[in-house]
Parts: sequence; C-alpha cells; structure tokens
Amino acid sequence: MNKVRNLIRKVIHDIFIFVAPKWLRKKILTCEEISKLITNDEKLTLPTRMKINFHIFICKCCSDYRQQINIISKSARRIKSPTLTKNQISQISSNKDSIIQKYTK
Amino acid sequence: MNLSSQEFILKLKNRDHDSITLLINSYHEILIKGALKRKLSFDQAEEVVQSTWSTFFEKVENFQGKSHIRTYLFGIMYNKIKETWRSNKKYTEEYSSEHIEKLFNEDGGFVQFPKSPQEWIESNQFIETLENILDKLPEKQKIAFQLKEVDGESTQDICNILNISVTNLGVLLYRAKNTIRLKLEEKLNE
Repeated sequence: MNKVRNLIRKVIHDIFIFVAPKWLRKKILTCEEISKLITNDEKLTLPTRMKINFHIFICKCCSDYRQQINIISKSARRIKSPTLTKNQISQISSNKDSIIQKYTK
Repeated sequence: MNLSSQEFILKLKNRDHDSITLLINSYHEILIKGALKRKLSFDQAEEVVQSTWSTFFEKVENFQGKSHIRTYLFGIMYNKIKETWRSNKKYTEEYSSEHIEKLFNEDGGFVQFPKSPQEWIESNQFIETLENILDKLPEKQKIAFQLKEVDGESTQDICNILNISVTNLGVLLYRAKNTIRLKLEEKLNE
C-alpha cells in the first residue's frame, strides 16, 4: 500500500517538475523552507499551510520528515517526570522552614 | 494576592515574614520538581534551589514585575542548572550541530533523505532512546526542547525564562529536533 502511494507520489512529482512552467515552480517552497516551517510550531496562515500540504503531497522526503517530527513531539510529551519519595517530601518541607528562617529578619 | 505585583515585591524587599513564607511555600517544591526533571539528583536539585533563593533575594530589587514571578525564578534556576551541568562530567558530552548546516543542498533539497519512521513506532525502547539522545544535546537546545515539548510551556514564557527572542527559540528548536531525528535514524533505522 505504501509502495503504491510512493510510486504515485513520484509520478506526480516528476510530471510536475517537468511540465510546470517556471513561474509556478518558483512559487513552490523548497524542502529546506518546508522543514523550517514544520519544525517551528508557530501559527501558520492558511496559504502557507496549503503550500506545505501541496509540497508534502508530492514530496516523500518532507512527508517522512513531518512524520518523524510528529512522532518526536508526541513521545516527548510521554516522558515521565520523576516522582518524589516520602522521605524526600519531608526533607523538602523541613528545608523550606530553614530557608524561610534564613531570609526573614 | 498577586505574587508578581509591586506591592508584594516591596514587602519582599523589606523581608516581610508572611510574604516570604507565602512565596517559598508556593514555589519551593515546584522548583525542586523542575530541577529534578532536568536530570539532577535530589541533592543537586536541593543545592540548585537553595542558591536560586539566595540569588533571588539578593536581586529582588531588580525584579520589575514585567513577567510573572514564576518565570523570573525559573530563569534564575536554569542558569544555576547550566552551571551544575558544566561542572559535572556526566552531562558535558554533547552532540555537535555542524551537520545541521549541511542538511540541504544549494537548491534547498535534502542531501540525505529522511528515512521512514515506521520502525520507530514499533521499537520498544523508543522513549528510552529519545531520553538518552536528549541528555546529550547542547545545553541551550536541551532546555528549549524540554520546556517546549516535554513540559508544554508557552512560547512567550520560554522566551522570558531563557531571555531569548522568539526567532532565537525557533532556531534552537529546529536544531534540537533535527539532531534528535538524525540520531534516532542512526540508532533505530538499521
């Protein structure tokens, strides 16, 4: 299934590169620009998003790139923060008092 | 009570007991947890937070109340954490960022095509691998990535904490993510 999709993608890509007039080709963002837009998760305008999607539609590199970045972001959110033991919690609260003492005068 | 207000800062300057108690009770534990997330040991975390408080009370006059007091405290703490990282061999091994300049050719196309991440999803140790890679990122990139992606802080807060511009943050994240994905390819797509 994936292979078929990639084949279709390649055919469209090649047709586009050879047939499209120069002024249209210039309007397409390069992979470098796309990669920066994908990684920077600032809010994008609709025309930019359409440009990105069109590029990804015909470019396997950027499609893989976007998948990679998405997986990294999703997994990063699943990294667990360390938990405190009971001992540590009591140590923290006793330290808190000594710090308060230290700075009040 | 608004902990970032001028009134409250004035009370802190005068070392008002109740205000200091309120401040430390609200933020001490959060700061320790934040330090632990940056892979410090419990003792190191306590040390870092202690010196954060001492710097904070030395410089409380400089606090303008423009940003939230939490942001200000975390900003001080991350500088201390960076110092700890630098003085400890365990944290100093870093990936270089040179390869990121050579990702694309003159026409803006990939020099080396990204590989399909299919195998990443199937890998059992994916998160572990990711964490190991994260440890070895250059310190600025590491902190930026952790704040943004792991903790999910807003862009504006991160810029205030790290004292950098939005564009700067974008560059850091771009570099961090590209280093991570290249190292993941190296380790998982074999």
